[in-house]
Amino acid sequence: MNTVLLNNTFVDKKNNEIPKKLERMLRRADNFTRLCVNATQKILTPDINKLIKDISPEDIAIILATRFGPIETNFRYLDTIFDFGEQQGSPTLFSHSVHNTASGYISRIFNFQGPIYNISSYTYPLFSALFCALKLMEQDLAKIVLIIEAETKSILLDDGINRILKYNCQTNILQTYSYAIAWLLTNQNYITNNICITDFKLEERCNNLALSTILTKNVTITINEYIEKTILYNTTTKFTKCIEKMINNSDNCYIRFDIKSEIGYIYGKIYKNNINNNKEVSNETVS
Amino acid sequence: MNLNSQVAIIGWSIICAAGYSDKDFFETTVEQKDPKNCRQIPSYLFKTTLEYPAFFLKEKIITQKEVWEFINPFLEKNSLVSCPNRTVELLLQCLYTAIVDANIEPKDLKNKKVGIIIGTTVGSTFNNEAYYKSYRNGKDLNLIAIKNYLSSNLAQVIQSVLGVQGPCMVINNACASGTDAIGIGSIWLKSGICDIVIAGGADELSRIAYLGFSNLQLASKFPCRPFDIDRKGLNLGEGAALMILSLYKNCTQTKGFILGYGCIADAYHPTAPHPRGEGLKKAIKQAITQADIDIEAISMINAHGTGTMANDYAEAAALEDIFGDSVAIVSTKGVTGHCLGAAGAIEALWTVYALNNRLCPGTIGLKHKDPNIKINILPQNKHVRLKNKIGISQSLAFGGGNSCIVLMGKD
Repeated sequence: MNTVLLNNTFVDKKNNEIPKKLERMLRRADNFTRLCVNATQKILTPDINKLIKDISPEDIAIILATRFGPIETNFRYLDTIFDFGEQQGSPTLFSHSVHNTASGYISRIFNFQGPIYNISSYTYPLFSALFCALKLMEQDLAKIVLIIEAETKSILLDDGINRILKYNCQTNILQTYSYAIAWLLTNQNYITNNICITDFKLEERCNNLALSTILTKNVTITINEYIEKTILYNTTTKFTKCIEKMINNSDNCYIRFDIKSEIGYIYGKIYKNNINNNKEVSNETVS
Repeated sequence: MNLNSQVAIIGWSIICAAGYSDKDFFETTVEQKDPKNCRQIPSYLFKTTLEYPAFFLKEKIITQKEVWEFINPFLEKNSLVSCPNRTVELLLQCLYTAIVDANIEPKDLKNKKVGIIIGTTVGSTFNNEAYYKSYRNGKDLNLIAIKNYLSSNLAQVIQSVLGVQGPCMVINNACASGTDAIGIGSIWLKSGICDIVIAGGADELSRIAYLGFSNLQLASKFPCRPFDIDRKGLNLGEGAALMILSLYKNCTQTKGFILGYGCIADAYHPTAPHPRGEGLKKAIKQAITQADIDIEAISMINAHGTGTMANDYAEAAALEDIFGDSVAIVSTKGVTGHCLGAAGAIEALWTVYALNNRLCPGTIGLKHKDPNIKINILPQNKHVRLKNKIGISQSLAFGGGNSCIVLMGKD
């Protein structure tokens, strides 16, 4: 059975308006949680809901991957300690400062009762989640997997990292930003405009740590023959946009992706519609 | 049962307040004495005005010369990691001991696919209060704090120390992280993508977590008393545990087996567990189904048993529904404290050790069982000889996570 991408979505500051029906449930939630819940809400279109309505909630898993998690919420919790004393720290902020709060919200709001995993990785959060999702479905521990990569902007981190870069005479600048990418995958045999993910490989070899893990400059994304060099931090959004273009612009096609850097490589193929007799997406389509 | 396709534990290591080795830890629980190591926070960890005791380790984690020799090449290669944080030190101490215990030459791992999956909570958070305070007040910043934070992904640290290739992940499933790390590691082995998996958890005692649990009114001013009518809450702890896993058919030695794994969400509340333990029940059933055994084969259960009322009732409800009062149940948090992301791994290791000894010691701190709890939770000073070698270790987490692994001792 192939793994099928049912739907994907990208949410950032511009389109992070929480639907009214969720406002009450998210009234205490931090930005990290709101982004993740909103991305989930957007992925569950009426068509998708129809498709998955017969799946038991216990067969729907959530994998949330991030580099820094709700780092700013942690600072807001510290603010309450510094301003009001140790006994007056905000329990609400503390409970939102842990990495798995957002996935707990998603589970509760959308009644997804399958396995929940929260992964942190400075290298490939989305691909680590994808890797984990494929193994989960292979072992029949889930029929549907929601994977999310999310970050929130941290001025403190931007400041610290760029000071370090400047000190080391490096010219590239890292700017964190707030976004959530969500993919919905299944191993079920739906008859639909399937986007199949095959031959996925994730090989990490972390010989050096520290800034190299998020600021690796020599990252090459090859989508078919189209090659782009980028910094690691931007690979996921660029890659997701390529897939969006494939979904929107091509009928029967596939893309072959190959992401290489000094800290590992990712390889895979994603097909649209029939796995056989597909053409490679043209370079123009994905560039 | 065809053992060849089962996931075997070929080596392990543990550090926690109850002992610096598997044997020490188990003997502490067998002694059944009231804990002497649940104390006020020492100044070498952090300063606090609060009076919630905790379980902690000595100031210096890595003291052996051979451990430093093992990790020094890694520190030199990563010149930015000038001073590994306490969680990284806990992890590396455990890594060294586990590799020795498994009779593995680190250089032999370079030809293998080695999966690394580590559970943590504090280890993935930027908890440097001094840095944040300076930033907030516009003072000079010590950038080493940022460098260390960006160098402390626990799975990547192990990958870098060993110089190996393979899947590499940190799991942040709060208090269930260690259990999930072992469960996911066993999935990787069964799916054939790894030759060896290093799985476990590590967490230091952090001031932020300490204050957070106090602010949530979950911490106790006394040593914790899981399932006791006089329970007052939990004590935090610190520690690490690692297991080196492989398929049994590829092993030359084994300490025990991971037979099954289940993970189910409550979908109920952001922090509290489902009061009837609905998610936990399903997770236990999933793990037992995956292990392909009958419920009657389970001879003991190492409960999450934090000593909070919500946890006790949820866990007891789930266990009563499935097992009635037929299975010996224990919690070890009365001697370790709640080690958060490391707890599941620490408890899984202890469970296999107990199964290998066919002995389940009682729950230290439990003196007067809550009459509303009907399960066979062993009180302090009551040991049970086990009929067979299969047991369960389970964890509950913030966010409604429930994780369970079915474990088997060796012959």
